[in-house]
Amino acid sequence: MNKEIYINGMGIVSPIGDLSNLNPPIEAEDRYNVVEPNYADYFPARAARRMCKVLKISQVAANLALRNANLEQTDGVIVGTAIGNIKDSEKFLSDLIKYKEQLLAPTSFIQSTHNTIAGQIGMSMNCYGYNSTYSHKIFSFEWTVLDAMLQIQDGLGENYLVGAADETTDLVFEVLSHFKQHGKEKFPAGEGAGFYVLSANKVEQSLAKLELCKIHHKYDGLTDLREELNKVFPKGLADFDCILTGASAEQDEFYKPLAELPTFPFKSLSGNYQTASSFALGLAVKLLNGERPLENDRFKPQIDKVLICNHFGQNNLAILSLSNV
Amino acid sequence: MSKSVHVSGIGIISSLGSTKEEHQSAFIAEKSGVGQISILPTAYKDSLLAGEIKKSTDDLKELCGLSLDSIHSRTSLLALFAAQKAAKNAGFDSFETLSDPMALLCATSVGGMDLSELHFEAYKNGDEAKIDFFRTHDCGDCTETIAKYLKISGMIGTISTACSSSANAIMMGARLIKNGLVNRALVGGSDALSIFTLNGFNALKILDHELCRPFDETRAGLNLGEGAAFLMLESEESLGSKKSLGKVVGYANTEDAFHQTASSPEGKGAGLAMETALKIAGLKPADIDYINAHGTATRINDESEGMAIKRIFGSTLPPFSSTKAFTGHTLGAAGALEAVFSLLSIESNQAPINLNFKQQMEDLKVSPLTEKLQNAPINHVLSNSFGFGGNCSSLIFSA
Repeated sequence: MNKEIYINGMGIVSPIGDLSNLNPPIEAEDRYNVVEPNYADYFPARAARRMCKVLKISQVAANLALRNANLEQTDGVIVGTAIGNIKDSEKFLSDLIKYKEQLLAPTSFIQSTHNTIAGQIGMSMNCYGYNSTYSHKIFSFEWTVLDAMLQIQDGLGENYLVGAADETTDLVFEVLSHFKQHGKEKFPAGEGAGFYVLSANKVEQSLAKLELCKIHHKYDGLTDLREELNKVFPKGLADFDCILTGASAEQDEFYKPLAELPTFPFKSLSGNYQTASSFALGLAVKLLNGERPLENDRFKPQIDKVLICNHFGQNNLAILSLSNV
Repeated sequence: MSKSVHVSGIGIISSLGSTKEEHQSAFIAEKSGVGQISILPTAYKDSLLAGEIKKSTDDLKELCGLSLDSIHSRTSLLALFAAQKAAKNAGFDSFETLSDPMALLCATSVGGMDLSELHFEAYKNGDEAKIDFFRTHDCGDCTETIAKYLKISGMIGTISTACSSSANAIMMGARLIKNGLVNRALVGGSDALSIFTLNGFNALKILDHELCRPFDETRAGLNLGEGAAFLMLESEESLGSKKSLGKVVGYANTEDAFHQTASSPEGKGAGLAMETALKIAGLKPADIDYINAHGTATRINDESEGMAIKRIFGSTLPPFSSTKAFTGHTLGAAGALEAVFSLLSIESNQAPINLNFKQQMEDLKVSPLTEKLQNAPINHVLSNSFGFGGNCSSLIFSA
């Protein structure tokens, strides 16, 4: 891939708000909830009542990203979500059991499909272009980025709205806690939406340059993280002024090989959820632009290149890297 | 952008059978797989028809070589079965010895819902052990299952764009190869019948209680089906001396931007998808020898798709048919199933008829294929897949 790709707009809804300041999240024992925006600023209250949280925060983040990029429309919309509109699935399933498959209203079924988010965002900006949805665990967001990069590479369009969102419902929290993805020794569970305008054009408001997006699954298990990264970056990691890691706790064995490098666990701010790397990209953009979370001393004063590294289990590694424009 | 994308293997399972030969014979015999429901434990067993695969989940585990006490959703089992077949057909027992990374893209709309819905009530009522059955709920499970058993390393992903899902998986695989990111991509989709989707479509009032009739004036809705299909895509270098079953030459994905569940009457998104796919393939409408239409047999889809086809092809309208009356609508798997049918039509120079068609739609005044198309040279096939949320995708396969 030889065309340069820029991040020209971003919109975040997260447990620490829209990232207009980087204060740490309000203390929580086991779950961080997003700071919900005033939805009425974005769409009619009647529409909002029909939408579940993940749909609302996605639409808000999408609007913010477009506004930030000074665009009303893009050539396509690509959304990632690990579990989608799970609340609507829960509702439709509960109803069909309760009413023994009789007299069901279709609304929650319609909303439950994963592509509802991308479909609605596409419709809201009258976009007839490319529209896709990835639902693959922690890779969901990286696929949207890779897809947009290919679209731009192939000359099919110039601006793409990409993003990811997930909501942690009570049931999801229960299930993921059972499967040990959440727990006392880890960062609280999180949720959020992070949307970006990726563009072929470098413009005045360009926020960063996207350098690389890599999705890496190894059926027989990853080797040491440092070795895996050395394969991707043969010149080493010294260029990166900051490495944002998907560590699920302050001490996470997986990232030990990076111990002497300037790392920061982004889930300490976003909470732990599958598409949290869509938050990390926004945090990286802020760092490149000179902003710092309160724990300032963990970061170098000048940050020009950021690596984002996320993993799941022993088989899945996702890498994003970006630099100052 | 100049790299060719070859199909070197296919694998398929639907209510018509579990080999390509069984599918071809069903088309020739004009025998539908849609009928009474006997496996899905739904209240509509006796009142709704579906294209159900008459194999229990245990049968499927055996077919895939898995132990009976393993926990797998029906969607993942169907996916694994078809993926194993496609790999084998292309000469791979597994991908263990590949030296370079490949891509695996699987598509599904309901994921592991078939297992979740069976255990949801008991769990809610306090049977905590049932929680293990939710492990396979998310869409990514079928993809990880395939990667695990076929020993795949590289880029793995799952697409969920409702009824166009697997067309988008094929498209993404082709784009990855064209851009030189990988030399091989195993792509396809899977959806099992579930009480959840059956009730969803029933609540939308778009299920026909009789056999569905695509593109017919009297059409009254769709029949659901289940299935999975996979294609092994390879670059020219990777294909080497192996036989190519066809090439993926055109693809497009557009948004109808009209309504969450309904397509625009004139089929704006659908038309745009077909036009763009033709452009990418460098073909004219007159070059297309057969169209495998989406043709769900709902009032709205067939009207909108028919209008779009008529607009794009005008006086050079090639034979077209929907195979939904054979298989039922297999949702996220439909695009991959129909990609296989498109490739079979290229291989055999035959195209399946549009089963159950009798009367032209009043607004459209065109007839789909009703007589067997035999020994007609079929070199270029267009396959449409459209979904909820306005997702429209078109693929073009060439000999």
